[in-house]
Amino acid sequence: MLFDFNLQTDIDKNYDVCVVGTGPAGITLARKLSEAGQTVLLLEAGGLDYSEQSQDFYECETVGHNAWPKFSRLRYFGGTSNHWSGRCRPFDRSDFNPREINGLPGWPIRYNDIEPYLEEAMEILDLDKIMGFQPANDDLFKTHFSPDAYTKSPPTRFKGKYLSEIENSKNIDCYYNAPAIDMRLDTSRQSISHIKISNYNNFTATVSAQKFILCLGGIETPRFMLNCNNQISAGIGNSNDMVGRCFMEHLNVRMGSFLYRDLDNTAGMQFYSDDDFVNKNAIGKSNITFGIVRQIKSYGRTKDIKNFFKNLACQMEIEDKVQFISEFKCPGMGNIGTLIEQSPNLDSRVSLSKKTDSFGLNRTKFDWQINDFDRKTIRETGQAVAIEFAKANLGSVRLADFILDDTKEIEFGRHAHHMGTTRMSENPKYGVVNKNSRVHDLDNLYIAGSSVFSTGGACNPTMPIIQLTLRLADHIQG
Amino acid sequence: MPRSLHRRSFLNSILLFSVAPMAAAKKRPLTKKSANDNQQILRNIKPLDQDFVSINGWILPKETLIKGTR
Repeated sequence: MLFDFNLQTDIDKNYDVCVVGTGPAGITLARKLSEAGQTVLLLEAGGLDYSEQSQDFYECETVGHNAWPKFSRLRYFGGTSNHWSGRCRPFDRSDFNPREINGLPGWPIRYNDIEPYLEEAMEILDLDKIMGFQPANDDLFKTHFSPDAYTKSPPTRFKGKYLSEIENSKNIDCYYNAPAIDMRLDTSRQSISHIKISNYNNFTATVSAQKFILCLGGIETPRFMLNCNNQISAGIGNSNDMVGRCFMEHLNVRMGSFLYRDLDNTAGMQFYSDDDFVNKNAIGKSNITFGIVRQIKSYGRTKDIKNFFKNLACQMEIEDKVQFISEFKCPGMGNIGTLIEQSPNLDSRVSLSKKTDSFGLNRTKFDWQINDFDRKTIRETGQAVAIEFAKANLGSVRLADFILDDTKEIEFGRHAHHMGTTRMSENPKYGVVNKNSRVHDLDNLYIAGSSVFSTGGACNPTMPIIQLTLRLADHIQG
Repeated sequence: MPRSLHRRSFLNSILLFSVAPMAAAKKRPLTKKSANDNQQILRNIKPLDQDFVSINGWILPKETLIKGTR
């Protein structure tokens, strides 16, 4: 059933499970638990469509690099699936290998723990199971990188696909315009007793369930937990000061530009770093895209580029050749884009700003930081990919100056993949949830979504979010 | 010899003697680059590994620089 909490304010049932958030994780959990016969209260803070009123809750204070949450997340039914690109690649087996980065442990689970959920996740995301994940192009590089293997979802909009199913479900009561504004512990302080919700007309209610699952994404999940500070000043689940820490994005670094030797070549290429390269250099993973942006059509540019390659091959003194290359001004035929794994880092974090929203909750204070591990990943990857491009005799790469000069600040952007802020770790000192996604020290509070990622790999997060969510649904059902 | 040809040769020679020194003066004398200049230029090469260098951000095999040299 579907209810607008601005209009329908009676919630007096005690549900088996309360799921907070209707993004891919929340909707998947509600559907799976309902199929298993559990009664589910599904809460959405926004409405059924986009509104400035709801989106305003993503307004935050930025003190580090700008992750632009207000423009990358969506706060209404279906969540950010309402505008995701649909690119899917599962985590690699090696993403789950035991390792330590920046003094923090990696995943406490193994690839085999989520592999059984791959097929069902592909179904949910409308992926072609027969085609699977095909290499994007030929294996042109001799070492260090392989063709990226991914597939595209239509992309699945969870609202369009599942709204009517939820509306007609007997086991799911979905309330929208019902933001959670507080969460209370019972007298033992080991369980959540209820969640307080509000509508946009200042009406509040409390909702009860046996189990609670937060599915609010990498920013709102920690903000909500930190704001629940009436009983414990540090916030719920934050006894080790880990809630909100280790914020990770996928780093969007423009490595530079390239020239194909063959000027008629207009093919884009995508590569993924090999495990050997990553392990040997002790760096993060990377996904590299060579994208054509300018076709070489004009006679002047064609001539310039032909001269460039001709002069590299011709008989000329080294000094003259170097001078020629130094003065060669060409923007290239295309750019090298990346999706680079950011390491978990305690200093990169989401905390609470002093500014408050219209419910009186503290807004997010965003301090996104990269560290030397990430800088090394970017520089080693950039240089290696440029060398492989030349070795493959494809042409030449011109790297951005910050790749070659480590005194220069690295320029990078975002991919809107917000991860790690309630990371999974068996040791409560290094994470917020245990290997079953249950918040340490609490017996009935769980978290689903990319905030539980211990490390982020270099693949788009939606596919692993769904796999982990299906695993959690199995666990909750017992 | 016709009279007109005499006049043309005379004018040509005047033109040649008056223009050539000016043109020659404008032309830069051919000089070899000094060792210092060469050193300065070679400083633009940054080695990446045993086989590859960067020049002005362009990543090139060392071989490319050496192979073509006279």
